[in-house]
Amino acid sequence: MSDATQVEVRGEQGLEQTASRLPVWQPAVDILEAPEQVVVLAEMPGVGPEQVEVTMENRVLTLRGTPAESQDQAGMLRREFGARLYERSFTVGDEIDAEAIQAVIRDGLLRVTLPKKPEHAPRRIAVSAG
Amino acid sequence: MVWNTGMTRWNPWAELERMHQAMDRLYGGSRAGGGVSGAVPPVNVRLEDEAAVLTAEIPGVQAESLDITVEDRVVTVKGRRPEEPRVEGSEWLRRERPQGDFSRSFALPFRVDPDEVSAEVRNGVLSLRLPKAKEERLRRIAVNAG
Repeated sequence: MSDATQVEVRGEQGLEQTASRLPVWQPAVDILEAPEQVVVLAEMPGVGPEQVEVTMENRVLTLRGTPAESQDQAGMLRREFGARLYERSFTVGDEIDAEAIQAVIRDGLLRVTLPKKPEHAPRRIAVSAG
Repeated sequence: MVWNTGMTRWNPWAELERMHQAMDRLYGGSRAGGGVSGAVPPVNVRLEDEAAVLTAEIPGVQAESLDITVEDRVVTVKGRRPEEPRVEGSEWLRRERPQGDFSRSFALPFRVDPDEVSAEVRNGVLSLRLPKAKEERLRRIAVNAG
């Protein structure tokens, strides 16, 4: 766990096996754009608030998560998922206010809210009769 | 392609698709769920001496929306993934997460004592402890010297 958080996963392909031997997965995401904000929902089951990191650098939003514990391997009757790291990056447009980004994780679902700068939000221009 | 909506302001898709293809190669085509994709949550089942422990990944699903039943050897987990509320004028740029209801049944190699089952959801992972029915538990028979 402590090893995993120090892992450097940036590479030429953007994906590498890590020093801790945990595979790196891209979490499944939904992205919803509204007139005044963009919301990214990323699935990170097993990840709690202390194990998630959201960074914004040079307009690249990066989401990282490290599950708290891996399961005991003994006596597995069926195994469809295992311990892994989550990482995914997105390039965001200039209209996003990087200072105002907020992130919350609940029930293993990371929600990142990216507000648009006020000058980019749609404005309604009143048209008066001439 | 679902994300090719003519939006130019949010434009990471080309790079993302390359990354996705790399992932697909890495994991033999199953991208999200380790062999199980789509609407069915992936499940691990571990056997202990007196119980089975089933864990399932259900990110975003609240404990109240789960319906867990046990009958004889079969445990069934049903649940509902909440709908994301949408304001007017919003649109999905990407939808990869499974939607809607799910149901998953699993047959165990022993009968379960339904009164002793316990369940917990933590960080989007369901843990279900399914103890063996009493008559299926190991009994030691004392051997008397003759």
